[in-house]
Amino acid sequence: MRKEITAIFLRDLRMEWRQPHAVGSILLYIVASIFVAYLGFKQVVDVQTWNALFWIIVLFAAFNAASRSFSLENSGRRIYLYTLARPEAVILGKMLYNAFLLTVMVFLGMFIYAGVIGIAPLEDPDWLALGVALFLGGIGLAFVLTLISALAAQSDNNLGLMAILGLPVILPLLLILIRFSKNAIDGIAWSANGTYALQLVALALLSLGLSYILFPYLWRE
Amino acid sequence: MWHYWWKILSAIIVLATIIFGLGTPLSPGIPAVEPDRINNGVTSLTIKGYNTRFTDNPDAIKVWITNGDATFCPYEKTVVDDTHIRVTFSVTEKIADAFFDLYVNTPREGTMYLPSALLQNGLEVSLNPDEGDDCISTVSAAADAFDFPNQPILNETIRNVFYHVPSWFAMIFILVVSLVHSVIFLNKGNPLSDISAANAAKVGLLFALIGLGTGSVWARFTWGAWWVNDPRLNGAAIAVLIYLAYFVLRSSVNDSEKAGRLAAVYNIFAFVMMVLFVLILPRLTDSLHPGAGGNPAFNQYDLDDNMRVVLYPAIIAWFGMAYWIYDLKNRMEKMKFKQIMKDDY
Repeated sequence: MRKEITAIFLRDLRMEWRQPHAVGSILLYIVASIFVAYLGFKQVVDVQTWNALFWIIVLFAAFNAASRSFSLENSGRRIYLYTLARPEAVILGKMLYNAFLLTVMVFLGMFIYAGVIGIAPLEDPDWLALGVALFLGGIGLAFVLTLISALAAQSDNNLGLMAILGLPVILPLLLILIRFSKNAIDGIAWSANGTYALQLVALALLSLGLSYILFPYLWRE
Repeated sequence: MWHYWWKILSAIIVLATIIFGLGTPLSPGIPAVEPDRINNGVTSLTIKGYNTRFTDNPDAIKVWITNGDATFCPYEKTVVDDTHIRVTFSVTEKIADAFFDLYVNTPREGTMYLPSALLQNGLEVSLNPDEGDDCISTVSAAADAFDFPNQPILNETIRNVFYHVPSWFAMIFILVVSLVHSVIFLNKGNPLSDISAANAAKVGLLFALIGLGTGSVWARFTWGAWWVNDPRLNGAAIAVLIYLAYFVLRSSVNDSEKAGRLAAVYNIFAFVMMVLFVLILPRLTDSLHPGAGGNPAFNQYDLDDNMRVVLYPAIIAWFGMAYWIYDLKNRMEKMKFKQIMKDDY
């Protein structure tokens, strides 16, 4: 099982590496969104706006990134994978790969965002909590959206359906995430803020478990 | 005949909760006092009663205000009519907490209470505080009438609890039915289970809309807005969005077996996320809604026994009604499905 998961993870990583334009397109998507936000807002000083805007940009980038994880598999390759690996391994490998990709994207995005939109709100943040927020945010978004992308990939209208199905499901996670990272930026003590981190971990684990149980039903055709 | 006794029972109970829920009077209370500020010196106030009969025994009525530290009695008191008393206070002391609670006690109605009724204006230090507790009375009312408690902000809208709360309970119940059918469908692959799951979700959506409607009206009267940004309310809105998405997913795939499979997976995934959001998250953060952030819900001191008598049967009856609507819809859809199957072969 672990071998299968690593194999799928590495395969996705290698595929991404061989087609750098795919990763580049997500990065470009983030940069373009940040630039649009910059044109609209110039610099943002207000912590609440700054924080919410960042997560909204990341949210749409995450939709974009996750929606590719199954739509890239054409049906021939899907059958090939089906014969080689267990469905549980497929979903776990894809989830881990998406989590890796999105975490990198979130951290990169934060650097670009802070550079372009302004670092004024980052006066005295709790750096550790902010790092945890970015890390858990990337993982949580990836875990919830991978199963949704598997669902949407099997329907005819992939991208539109992805947004319709994903948004209501991702909202609980996003709301906790926005509150958690705002508290981190405000420098609120870990003792008051730690429950949000636990909630994020719980949500991520829950979606991991559900995907593990439900994905085999999607995979067999 | 006897296998649908539960339909008759729930219809009768729903009818009864409408009659008793709307027909039972509220217990007497004092919803307002005019003006709501008290000045240092002499202030005349008009206390408004609701369902009260002040003229029954005007001399036995006791009125006092207190802010926790000190209690003041009116030096003049006139009963205008059954629902109005005019009192005059002389307050010559400024105390730390400037909010006064108003109490009225009568032999017929017992002690009525309006929290934070008055705000003290101005600052003036008195030389001889004229507090006294000789007007405080604890005569309790003869509890013979069947009535509902008169809560300060809720007033008559407290009856909404019989319709708002059961609609959410019925929604959760019927969505669990939908979830169970989705799980059965994934395991057995019988298309009739998929039809059942979809119909239960439709009925659940209906009850969610009823719950949102009654809640919105209630919020307008108690919180002053049709919608407030609150975890519980946002959770309800997300629940509606999730099930709308479920129907979009079901209708967007042409192959009905595959559509059922995708929809069932989404139903299970989304249900868990929704339950998490609606039931658990609001308890962890602050919320205006009862049952969250230290706010009292029903099941605690503020729901009295008279209301339980109506609310608990109402919840059971709404479960029955929800299942009945679902059953009718389900039988019709299944018949249609079988008809199509017969036509095809």
